Order: sequence, then structure tokens, then C-alpha cells
Amino acid sequence: MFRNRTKTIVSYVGDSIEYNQVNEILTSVWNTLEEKGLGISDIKIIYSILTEMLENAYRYSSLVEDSKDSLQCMVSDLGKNRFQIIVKNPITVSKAEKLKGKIDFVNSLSPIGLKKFYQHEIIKRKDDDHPGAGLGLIIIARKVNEPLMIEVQSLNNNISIVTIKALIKI
Amino acid sequence: MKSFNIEPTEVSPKMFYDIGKHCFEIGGFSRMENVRIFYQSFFDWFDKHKAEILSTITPSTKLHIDLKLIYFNSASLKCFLDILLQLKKLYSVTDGHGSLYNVEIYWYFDEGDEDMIEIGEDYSDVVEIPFTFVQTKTSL
Repeated sequence: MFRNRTKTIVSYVGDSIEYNQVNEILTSVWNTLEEKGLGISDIKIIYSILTEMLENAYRYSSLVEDSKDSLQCMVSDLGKNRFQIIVKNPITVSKAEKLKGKIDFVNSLSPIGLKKFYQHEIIKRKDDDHPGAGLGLIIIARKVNEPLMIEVQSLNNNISIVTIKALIKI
Repeated sequence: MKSFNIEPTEVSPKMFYDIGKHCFEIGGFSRMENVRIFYQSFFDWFDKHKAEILSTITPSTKLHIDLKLIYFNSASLKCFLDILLQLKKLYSVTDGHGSLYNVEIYWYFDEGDEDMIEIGEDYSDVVEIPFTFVQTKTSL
């Protein structure tokens, strides 16, 4: 008999998210993974990806105020040491385009290519005041086992809703 | 001489700089809402005390840095880089052959945390200082 082994670790749906809610989600996921008996190294992989995705969502969370579900986050245990993180959030149309381009680019790189790109991006930051935008995406891409998936839906002329899905095998 | 000390929280790291002993430490989590604002307090303190610290540094003085990070986000990365590069510059001495840094960096990682080792290796390449890697038992 087929049994669905997927278990939701955390699920959040709202029109925006406050930083204390980001903290609550992250702490909850860490604790749940610890209870499941995962090693600290594996916990940190999932935690790291989720942190970068949620912080990005938080940055743009106030763009839409009249929608009840424009910001969503779901972390699931798919069984057999596979985990899935899905984060959906509003973003400006121009940034959505750039984000899609960046994801396509990091998906096209090999692990060695990603490492070189990561180091190149850090070195760039030695000399400028760029706060770190884009680096989070490289960090995520280095930790996932399958290409990152992105879906862009147009909400209006200025705002899009992006959904990013990351699959992690530990 | 006054040292710099910040206690850790669930999201921000412990920071400690003992000027007398020339020891610097960062440890714990670093994923605050405003990372730059948090680290600015260190940079302000550092700028204010730089001349004083410099007056205690001799060619044989070595700065011991312990990086005991559990997790840090991408926004923290740039701040760490700035801190390490500023400390490296402060503890550099110039001799007839050029500039030498008197800094030793210890990078702590949990047993089995290959990811953290890789991050440390990348960081070491970027700051151009070889790190000493120290394995610890699970830190939580």
C-alpha cells in the first residue's frame, strides 16, 4: 500500500512577515530537526538555506498589503533523508527578472564553478560596500542537490510573486 | 586598557577583544535583522581605540583570533571580512622585505561539519591568512 511519507515541519501563510516570526520559524525548524535526530551538520544545511530564503522574503514582505497569502513558507520532510523548502514572496517585477536570471546562472554551474563564483563574490566585497545581495543565493545553490526551482507570477504591473523551491538530500 | 565585550543572544554572536592579551573572539550565531548596525558598534569602538592598541603592538606581538561560529548568514560575511582585514592591517609590521602580518586565526568546527570546514577554507583564501582548524564536540 502506498504511504505518503511527507511530513510538514513548518508552514506559514500571511500577507507579510515580521522578523520575530522569521526567528520563530527558524528556531522551530532547528528544534524539530534536532528532535528527529539529525546531526548538527545536516541541521545547519537546512537552517542555512531556510535563513537565506526567509531573510529575502522578509526584505520584500511589506510590498503587498491586501493579500492574505502572498507570503508563504513551507519546510517538509519528504522521507529518506530528503527535505524540501518552499518560500513564496512578493518582489518588484524588475527584481524578479534579475532573480530568475541569477538562479538560472547558479543552476548552470558545477560544484567547482559555484565555489569559484562564491570566492569571487566574497573578494568583490573586500573592496566595496555591497551588503551581500546575491551571495545568499550562491550559498543556497552550493547546499542543494538539485537545481533550484523558481516560478514567477505577475500580480500587477509593479509586483510579481516568486516561489523558490529547494530540495535537500542529507 | 578597556576591552570590547558583547554577550551572545540567540541570533547575535559573542564578541570579545582583550587588548592587553591581544586576543579576539567571535562565537555563536550571527543572523540579526540589521547585521551592519550590530557590527558598527565594534567598528566605532575599534576606530576610537586603534591608536591606543597600536601603541602596545611590538614587532613580536601576535594577535590570536578564535572564530567559533555556529552559523552566520550571508550579510554577516562581509562584516567578518571587514573585521579580519582591519585586524590584519593593524597587526602588520613592515620590515625590509615588505609587510608581514602577526595574526593567527583558529577556525572551530563541530565534529563532522564538512560544510563549516569548507567555509573556513574559502575565508582563509580570501583574507590570505592560513587558518588553523580546530574540531570541537557539538556546540549546542
